[in-house]
Amino acid sequence: MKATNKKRRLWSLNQSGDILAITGIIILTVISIMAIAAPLFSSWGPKQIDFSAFLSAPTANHWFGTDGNGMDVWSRILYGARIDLSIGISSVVIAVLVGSTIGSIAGYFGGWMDAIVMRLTDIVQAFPPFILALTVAAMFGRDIGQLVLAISLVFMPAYIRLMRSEIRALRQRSFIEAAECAGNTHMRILVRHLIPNATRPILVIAPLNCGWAILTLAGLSFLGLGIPIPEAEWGAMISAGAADVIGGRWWTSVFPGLILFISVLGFNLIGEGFLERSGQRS
Amino acid sequence: MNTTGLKIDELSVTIGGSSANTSVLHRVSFTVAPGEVVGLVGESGGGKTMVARAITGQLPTTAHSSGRITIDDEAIAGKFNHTHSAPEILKAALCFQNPLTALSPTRQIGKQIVDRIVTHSGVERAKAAEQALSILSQMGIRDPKRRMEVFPHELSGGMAQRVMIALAIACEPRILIADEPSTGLDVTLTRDIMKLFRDIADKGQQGVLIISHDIAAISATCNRLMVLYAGSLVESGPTDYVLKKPAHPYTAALIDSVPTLYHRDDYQGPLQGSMPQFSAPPVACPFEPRCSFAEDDCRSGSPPTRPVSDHWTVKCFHSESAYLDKYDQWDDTAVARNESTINTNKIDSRTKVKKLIELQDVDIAYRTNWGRSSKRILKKISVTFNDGESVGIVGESGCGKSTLARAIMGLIPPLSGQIRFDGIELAKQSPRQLRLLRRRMQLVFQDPLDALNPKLRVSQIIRDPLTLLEMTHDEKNTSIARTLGRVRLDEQFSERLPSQLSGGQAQRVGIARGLVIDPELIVFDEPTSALDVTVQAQILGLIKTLIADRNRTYIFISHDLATIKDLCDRVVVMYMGRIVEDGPIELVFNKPSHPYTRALLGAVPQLREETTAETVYLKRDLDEAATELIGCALAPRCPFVEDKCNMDQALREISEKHSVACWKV
Repeated sequence: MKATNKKRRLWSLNQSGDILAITGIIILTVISIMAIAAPLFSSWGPKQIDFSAFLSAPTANHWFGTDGNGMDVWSRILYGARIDLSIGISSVVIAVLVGSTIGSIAGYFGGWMDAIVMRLTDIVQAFPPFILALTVAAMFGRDIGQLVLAISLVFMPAYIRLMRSEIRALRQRSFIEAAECAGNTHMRILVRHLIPNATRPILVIAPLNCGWAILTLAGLSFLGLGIPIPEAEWGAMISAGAADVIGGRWWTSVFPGLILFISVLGFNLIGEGFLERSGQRS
Repeated sequence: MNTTGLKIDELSVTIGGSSANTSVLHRVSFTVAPGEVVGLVGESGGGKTMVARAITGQLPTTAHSSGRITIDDEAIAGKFNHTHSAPEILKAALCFQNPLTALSPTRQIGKQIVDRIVTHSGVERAKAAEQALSILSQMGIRDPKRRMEVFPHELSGGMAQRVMIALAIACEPRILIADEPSTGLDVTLTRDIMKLFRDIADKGQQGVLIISHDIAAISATCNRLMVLYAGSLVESGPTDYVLKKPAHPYTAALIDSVPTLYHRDDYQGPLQGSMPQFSAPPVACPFEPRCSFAEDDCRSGSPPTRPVSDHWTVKCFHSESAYLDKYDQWDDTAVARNESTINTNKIDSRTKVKKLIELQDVDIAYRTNWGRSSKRILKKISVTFNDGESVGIVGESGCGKSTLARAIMGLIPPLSGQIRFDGIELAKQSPRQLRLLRRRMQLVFQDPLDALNPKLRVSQIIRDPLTLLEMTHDEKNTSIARTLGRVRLDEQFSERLPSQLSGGQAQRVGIARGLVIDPELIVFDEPTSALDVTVQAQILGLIKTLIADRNRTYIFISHDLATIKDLCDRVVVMYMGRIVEDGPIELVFNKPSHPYTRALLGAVPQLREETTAETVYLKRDLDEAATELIGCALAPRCPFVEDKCNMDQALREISEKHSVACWKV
């Protein structure tokens, strides 16, 4: 029975989970390549002003039109992807690394250390995430580095908790006792025996969080606390174009909104795909 | 009313969708007459539970079945579905495998039984409550009125099993099916539960079908035994005949795999290999790959089910072959042999006695309820294990044997008292020193798959303890390869992940990990209790060859007395966190002194009746309150109890090397 189950699982995995994840990966790869090789895809610079065309509708020259400053929307979307994707991904990477380290140490050793860590995460999680990001960004400033820090702080408690509970559950398994009998140090038990077995839920959540991180960044910029104009950033572009939409010049906001939507969708698909896979495996 | 009982005709079940089928039962036919107790035995994966599910109409959604099931000549259904109507369910009731999870956790047990009666017979609740009360007392539950009010989690394992049976018979089924009723129960309770099934069959004229992997536990109760192997019923016949002269080679192997208290001359060694899985009904004999009597016809065609004598059938071409003969002489030689093993005295074969492990007044408690209260697991344990000894620790589940093993390994610090390894007190060592001590002792775990890191390959798992030794990479590799050979695992296994191993293979890896650094002490914590019988026998055979190496100390923990008798020089009997008896195997097994040891020995199911010692019957289920008693923990269950038993019972020596914690001895 076991053997046939495995076969069936692999089969359905190709059907659903993998297809989702692969679609997501393709979407993000395309966006990333276009961001990295932006000059190849657009003859306009991100901050270059076309004095002959302010708020021009999409034309052959300006594919997605221009904004109120005469800057090309298409090339700003391409260059903006560099900032949005890198801030989104790096803030989640930091949250994962720091959060799961803290979480696994708290979960493994328990005691007062665990209690303190848990109460701190309680405090952080008591704030609505976006309000927290807003406050931290307002306190720290609008530098890219500081924005990454603000966003990663919002996501960190989830990873701390997740890793802690995984580690605590794994600690009960007898292979950890066996590792102790085999003379492993605490450090080695954590790194070699516990953490590799605890990463799966994090792999599921991290891509989803990347999408949220980009939304958070866009939200901050929309409210004027993120990356300032004239730097190309999707949230700031949506914000700047919002007034023009009312006047019928939809392209300044809709196109950056669309790309934001597509990239968040890409991350979500990857997360969903991983989730499906882990669901089938367990 | 017609009373022919349960009749199953050519039942076949296939599970799976269009792409991957598993054929779990192949044309199984049998009957269970009213008043009869029939045992269905076989190893896990053989399809036993599927038989029960087919009868009660609880096959999985993806199952396809064919065949005919009738109870009292009324067909249950031509085609089986989930939607049996109530009257059909009435006829067969199922006791589920794990009673504590099968009972609804949020409803008092009395209400659950009343619900059942009301649904099935439509009587008023008050009247149903009376019936429930009488069923519970019939089940041997003391103070049934009070027990009606309790929730399932307040019941002990034996109690829960009784409630489960009460629930099943509440609606007076024609057929009662018990799926592994002895799982999780210790030997004394198993015996009581089995008696209950006998009573039900005798008094109520109901047919009882007991499904179990434990052929020894159920054999005393069953009129007939049926053996299921890989979905085929390979043998079916009266219990005595099947046990004494098994007609099918698998039945013989199954019986041989059961460790007994008495030495056997004719032991053929463990059955190799494992049970196959079929995607379609097999064309050949399913047992052929593991059968030592297989010939060409076994490979080319499926043997017919044919009679051996009245009511006794076998599904084998060669059931008259040579192997049957050995059973003819069995009875005489075994008894003779038994006498001789008792006389060969190995009590004092060694002169050097070096204390390797010493425990002195060790108390261990787990903190519960956020550290506010604690549960004492071990109470004032004092015991010494000498160098080169192999000691068995036995006791029922929850008595603290595993905790004792972990305390010896220094994994759990004692609350009070001292544990010394070779004179070094474990609690006083720094983590670093403790790590260095670990290269001198190793633990083999109960659940082999849980004890292996799922992300590491077999070679990496065995390599893990080698970090304690200063060795080059090549030296490590050679010692890994050598150890794999010692546990009889092929080289090809070294690159596998634990998920690619069977239970038996995983336990071999676990043993290899314990062995690879050549420790002075190996503790086996119930190494076979999570395995199937034939695999158990393979692993025990391996452990036996290891124990033959006398340069090492072995502690073997088990709830199975027969295994310990076979492997150890000395036995320590534990009951509720205390040691109640400690002495050489021969003395304890032939002259058990503590009432608990006597009850334990008397309750060991014997495949062939030859128990000599006078049996002690303990009073029914243990009371949880006993854990907090000051005096003898057995007092509430002991038939010889007197006032003096409520005082502290220390272990005292009654003869050389034999001590007992009972003042009456």
